[in-house]
Order: sequence, then structure tokens, then C-alpha cells
Amino acid sequence: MSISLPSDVSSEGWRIDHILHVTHWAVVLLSIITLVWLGISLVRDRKHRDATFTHGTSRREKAIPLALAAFVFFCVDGYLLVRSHSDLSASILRANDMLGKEGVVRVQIGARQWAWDIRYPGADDHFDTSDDFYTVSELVVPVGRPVVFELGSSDVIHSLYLPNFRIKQDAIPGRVLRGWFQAEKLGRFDIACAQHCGVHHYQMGGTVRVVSEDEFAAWRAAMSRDGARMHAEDARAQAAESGYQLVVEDGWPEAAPSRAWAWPWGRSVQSAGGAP
Amino acid sequence: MSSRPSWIRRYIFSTDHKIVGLQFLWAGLIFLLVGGLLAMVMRWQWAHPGEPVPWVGELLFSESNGAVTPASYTGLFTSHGLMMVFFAVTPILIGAFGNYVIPLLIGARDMAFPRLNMLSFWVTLGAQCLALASILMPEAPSSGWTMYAPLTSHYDSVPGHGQELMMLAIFLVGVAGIMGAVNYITTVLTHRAKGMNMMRMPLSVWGLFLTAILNALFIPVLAIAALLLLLDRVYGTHFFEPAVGDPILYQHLFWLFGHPEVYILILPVWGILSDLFSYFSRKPAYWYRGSVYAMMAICGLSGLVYGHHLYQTGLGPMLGTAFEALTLAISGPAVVLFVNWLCTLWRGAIRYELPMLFALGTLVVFAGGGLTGLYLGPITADIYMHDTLWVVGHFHLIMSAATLMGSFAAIYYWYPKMFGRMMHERAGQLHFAGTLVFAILTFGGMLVAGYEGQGRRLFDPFQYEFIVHLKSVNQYTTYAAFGMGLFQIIFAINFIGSLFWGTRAAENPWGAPSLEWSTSSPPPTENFSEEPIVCNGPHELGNPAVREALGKDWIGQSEVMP
Ligand code: HEM
Ligand SMILES: [Cu+2]
Ligand SMILES: [Cu+2]
Repeated sequence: MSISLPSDVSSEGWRIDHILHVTHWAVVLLSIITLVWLGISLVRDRKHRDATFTHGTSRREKAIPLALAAFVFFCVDGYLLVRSHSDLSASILRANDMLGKEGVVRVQIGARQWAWDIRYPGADDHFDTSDDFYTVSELVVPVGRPVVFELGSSDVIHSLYLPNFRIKQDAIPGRVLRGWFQAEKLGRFDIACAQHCGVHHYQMGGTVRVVSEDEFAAWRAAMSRDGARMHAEDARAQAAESGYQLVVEDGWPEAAPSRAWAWPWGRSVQSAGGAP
Repeated sequence: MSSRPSWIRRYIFSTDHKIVGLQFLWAGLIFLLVGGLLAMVMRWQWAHPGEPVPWVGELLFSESNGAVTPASYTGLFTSHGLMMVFFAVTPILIGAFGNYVIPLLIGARDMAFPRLNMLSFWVTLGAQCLALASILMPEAPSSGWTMYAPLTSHYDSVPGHGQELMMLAIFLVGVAGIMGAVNYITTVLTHRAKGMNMMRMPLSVWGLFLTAILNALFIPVLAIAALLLLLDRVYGTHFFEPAVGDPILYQHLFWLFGHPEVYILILPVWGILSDLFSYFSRKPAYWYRGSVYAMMAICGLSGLVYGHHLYQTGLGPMLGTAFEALTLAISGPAVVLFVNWLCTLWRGAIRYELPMLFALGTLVVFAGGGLTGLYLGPITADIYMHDTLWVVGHFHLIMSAATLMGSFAAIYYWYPKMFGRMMHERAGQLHFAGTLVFAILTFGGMLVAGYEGQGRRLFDPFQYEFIVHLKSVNQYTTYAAFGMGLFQIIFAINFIGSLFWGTRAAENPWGAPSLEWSTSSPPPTENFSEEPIVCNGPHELGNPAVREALGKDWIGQSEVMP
């Protein structure tokens, strides 16, 4: 049995894997130091009848814990801090910049109990036009192109979790957070909800379907014609089959809100991490 | 002067800190059992999803033929988490040891406010009963122990009135906690025996004292958060509603309490470990002041790092980085404390008696908890790790494995003081080995599943395809948890049996210098026949001058060098 992260199929996931792997090395090193140190004491010192008397207050003695603390603080913590900070500013928080990129795909993801409503801008690349279309819990993206998502919720807090893309972002009612990823491999991958959002939290799954650029273009063209309604019906049929509660209503996007506050589309957008 | 107080005054509504301490101990242990059983049911569900739970299933889930349902699962993890944190571990570590130990260790006759102390216990017991009632309601609390808004503020997401009862219980236990905290702080500041200056207090007292300060500072924050949430839920106010209020505000309040809470639970253990390592390696605690300052530094930081629970809520980059830096900075003082322990053991004359075994076990699982936390500090790593079982495994290593093994160390250590008898050695060793091994397997199993991506709070994790292959890991973990549970039976038998059949304890069975061992076991009502006058530090062990003069390797805190 080997313990491993889920396969990484994103362009930026390596950053997270890297920092986890560096942490492994730090942890292995610190564990070895501790275990050897402790082990020697436990084996050797039990034979002693008398302990070596010291309060550990001389300068040299105090230097031992201080030096180790400094080592952990500057070398281990320092590296983690600098590294994660540079990953954030170089890439992970760059959703706004991605918007300007050639060929970027934009989606809006609205979480609700217990499904993910996904809106595409249609062929014209603009939201709030007549060719917008919707899918439920299926995120179709082309390989090799940045996908910028705007994430909100219409009821409680959920959390969009794409394990294979190393993405996790809370979906918070009343806020819209922006994030991005880029798929590097074709295939189907899981969407999960990471925040307890009620009884069916464990079923708030979905699929990311990564397709070729051509296939994506064809799919998008078909969907913006009449796909929205078709898809909603599919989802309804699926829900009826599986027997768990998936509320799919007519009249997108005004449907769905079961609560007093509004559907998140069209509110001011924050980048995940809050950059303006 | 007066006539002897009645039996009820002495043993039930007693103001004697020792009786109150024991009452807290019993109450806490019983709820530990409740919380533990809930955990076992959850684990069953992950090993055999949808299958009837053996023995208790029919009783608990009769409508579903004894199987856990999605709704009852949400009730299980919520009740388990809250029971353990507020109604089991807090009463044991802070209520029981705080009460029993603080006055004895500083040479006081009782707490500063004995009546408040008694009240604190009775309010806690009331809260415990309320909490028990809440989980027996047809709809148990199901918000998760964090009770996030707006999930918790709406009956359609978190149905039933169990939730309100539980919130009330938490509010009450908070009130009791504040009473206790005020009492401990005052007692330590004003009731120390002559000569017992702050830097002569055993580190156990320092740990409990600092915990009390954190309690006094941060429980009120929880109380406010819970109160506002209750208003939102019951009266439809909008403190945490989107658009008019802010759901994230709740998280700031909750974690401003919630993160210090982790230190509230672990500080007493740190203090106790620091003393036990000294006593059982027959050496002074290494760099006493260093340990005190390290604990103070961690207390100071504890309120400033809570933001790491909010990394995924869209904290601004500036705020996120600040919280990240402060979080990582905690490892500084933590390393000092930890290395001081290792240095205390180094070249000691180590004695593997029961308290020492458990103290060493605590050290190991605590190290595991600290190291696994390193993966959660950096914002980027936390993007992946957040809300997975990795987090659950990590905090159980500290909040469960370390606090429980630390409590066991303390129980085995002070049992002779409390009851005048020793606990059975062989049975204790078995209990130790089983607990340590199975705790590591149980929480290690959670870490493995979490590293591979398994999310937390999932009734049936295997609904998600990427988790399906983790079923066998989950099964092994479940069996390990059952093993850990079974070994606690040995403890229960030993604890109760030794009350009657334990060998009589020697006057100072561990050769420890602190004041509680200079009086009888159990101590008389006002603890000391005459007020002790302290002339030595708490860790005068292995001093050659003492050995020369007294022919033993330690000198009591109130013992005068000839
Ligand atoms: C005795 C062994 C224990 C076992 C086997 C155990 C097991 C578990 C399990 C399976 C969960 C559910 C995780 C999930 O649904 O994702 C859980 C949650 C939790 N446990 Fe434990 N636990 C134990 C002891 C403790 C102790 C002593 C504490 C307290 C200090 C504690 C505090 C918690 C908390 C706070 C949660 C989170 C609840 C939530 O998600 O709302 N546990 N535990
Ligand atoms: Cu959800
Ligand atoms: Cu969820």
C-alpha cells in the first residue's frame, strides 16, 4: 500500500504538491532527531541510579532549545512562508489576470443544497445574454486553457473541492469569490463539497469533464442553442432516479433560491483570497 | 468551633476543592464514555456503511433497522465533538485537575472562592445533563461542532430543538468555565503559601493558571457568538445572514475562541508533563523559566492565529499572510517547550512508572500532532488539506490522544493522593500499551485517508468516487478505534477496583518534592495541618548537596536543609 495524493491533472497543482513534499522532508528530519534523542535517553538513562544534576539554566544549556527553535522557525517555517506566498502571488491568486488571457473559459458556479449550478456565457463570451446556458454538477472544460470561475452560494456555506486540481474554495452566500485552474489531462474527475452543508453534504458531488478544445467548442455551440433546457431536464430525470433531493427548477437562473437572499450572479466579485 | 457539617455538605454540596475536583473527574469520565461511544458508532458507519450497528443500533436507530442514517450521522459527529470538547475533556483537565491540584500545589487551604467553585461544578453538571438531553432529542444537534451560520441559523438546514438545547448547554458550561477561571486566577495570585513565589510554582500550576487566563479572555467571545447565533435561529435576527449581516463574522468570532480553546485544553497537559518528566527522571525540569515563557508566548499568540481556520473563505491576501506567519511562529515557543522536555530526560535516572509511561506516550502523540499541523499552516498546502480527514487526524492527535494520555498520566500520578491507594501496575501498563498503539493507528488511519483526499463529516464517504479505494483504510482505522475503546475497559476496572483493593499508598510514592505530598493522602479538609513555608523550588531532584545532607535524591518544597 502506498500513500499518495490524488493524481494531479492541473497546471498549478504541482505547487501544492511541492510544498507538501518539502514538509515531508522537514517532518522526517524533525522526527528522526526527536526519536533518536528520545530513544537514547530512554534506553541509556534507565540504567542510571543517579541523574546528572542540572537546572538547564546556563547560557550554553539555554542555547540548545533556542537554537533548535530558531532552526525550525527560520529554515522550516521561513521556507514554507516564503514559498507559499510566492505561489499565491505568482499564480494561485492570479484569477483576475487570467481573465485577460487569450482563450480563457469563464464559468459561474452557484452552490446550493445539494448541487452545483454552473453557468456558461455561451458562444458570445458574455454573461447575461440570451445564449447563456447551464449545467448541473457537471463542469465541462477544455484541456490546456485557463478556467476562471466565480463561486457563490444561494443558501448555506459550501466548499468547492476539486481534489485532482488541488482546488478548494468556500462558496459563501452573499459573496462571490473568483478563482482559476487549468486542466492538463483529458478525463472525468470528481467534484466534492468540503464544507458541512446539511444532511446531504456527502452527496454533493459532481464531475469535471475535461475535453479537447474542439469538442469543447462543439459542445458549447450546441448548448448555447438549446442545451440549457435539455440539460435541466436530464438533471431532473437523474435526480428522480437516484432518489435523493436535487432541486432542479425551471426558469434559470431565477430558480433555485429557496431563501430570502438573492442568487449570487451579478454581485461584486472578489478574487479568492480577496485581491481586488 | 461549629458542629461537623452534614454528610450532604461534605460530599455532595461541598465547597472543598478536593471534593469538587473529584466530582468534576467523575462527571468528565462518564461523558468521556458517552463521547467515545458516539465515536465508535461513527467509525462503524465508515467501515460498514448502511449496515445495522451491532448491539446499540436497534436502540438508537430503530426506524432504520439499526443502521445510521444521513441525518443521524450529522447528529453523531456534532454531538461527539461537542461532548468531548466541552463536557468531557474540559471537566477532566480543567475542572478536575485544576480544582484538585492548584490549592494543594501552592500550599493553600482551599480556593479563593469556594462557593463559586461549588457553583461552577453544579452549573457544569446541569449543562452536561442538558447536553445529554439534547442528543437524545428526536432531532439531535447537527450543525457540526463549529455551528457555522447560516447553516445553523435555519431550521430547514439544522432541524429540531436539540440544537438550541445544546447551544444553551454550551452557554452554561461557558459560564461555569468563567467562574472556574476567575477562581483559579485569584487563587494562584493571592493564596500561595509563604515563600511560594510565582517562579517556584510547579509547572502544572503554571499550565492551569495560563489556561484559566485564556478561559477568562476567550469564553466570553464564544458566549457572544452562540448568543447571537441563537437569536438568528430562534428570533430571526440577521447578525450572520448574508447581505444584511455576515456569515463570516460568525467564523471570526467562533475561531477567536476556538483556536485558543485548543491551547486551553493542552496547556494543563503541558504543565503536568513538564513536572512528571522531572520527577520520573529524577532531575530538575530543564530551564524552568524557558518553559514558563514559552507557554506564555503561546498564550499570547493563541488569539492571533485563528485566521488559519478561515483561509478558504476569501480572507484578503494581506490578512491571510499575517495569520500564516503568526501560525508558523507558534512553532518557535513550542519547540522550546518540547526540547526542554527532551533535555530534562537526557542523562536522567529514568523510572518507568505508570505516570511516566503515559507522559512519554503523550510526548509522542503530541509530537505527531504538532508535526502534522505543519502541513496545515501554509495557505497553499491548506487549500488541499482543509476540511479533509488530515485535519481531523491532526487535531485528534492533540485534542484527543495527547489530552487523554496526559489526563491518564495525571490520574495515575495523583490517584494515590486522591484515594490513598495505588492503581494496579500491570493493568496500567497494559492500558498504556494498548492506548498508545491503537491511538496512533486510529488517528494515523485518519491522516492517511485525509492525505488521499477524504473529506470530513461525510455520512458515506464512498459516494465520492475518488474515496472508494480508501474503504479498506477506513475499515482498519475503525478496528483500531474499537481496539482503543476496548483497552479503556481495563482502565475503568482498574480505576474503580483500586478504590477498594488497591495497595495502600506510601506517604510520597513517587518521591516528588511538590507540596501535596507533604500532607496525608487523601489530605484533610483544609489540606495542611499547618501552613507550609516554602523554601525550595519544585524540582530539587538529584542535587548532590541534598543527597549528602539528607541521604535521598530530592528535597520537598517546604523541607529545610539541615
Ligand atoms: C476516543 C477516540 C476518538 C475517536 C475514535 C474519534 C473519532 C472521531 C470521528 C470518526 C469523527 C468524525 C469525523 C467526521 O465525521 O469527519 C470525530 C470528530 C470529532 N472529534 Fe473525535 N474521536 C475520538 C476522541 C475525541 C476526543 C477526546 C475529542 C476532544 C477533545 C474529539 C473531538 C472531536 C471533534 C471536535 C470532532 C469534529 C466534530 C465535527 O466535525 O463537528 N474526539 N472524532
Ligand atoms: Cu455543500
Ligand atoms: Cu457540503
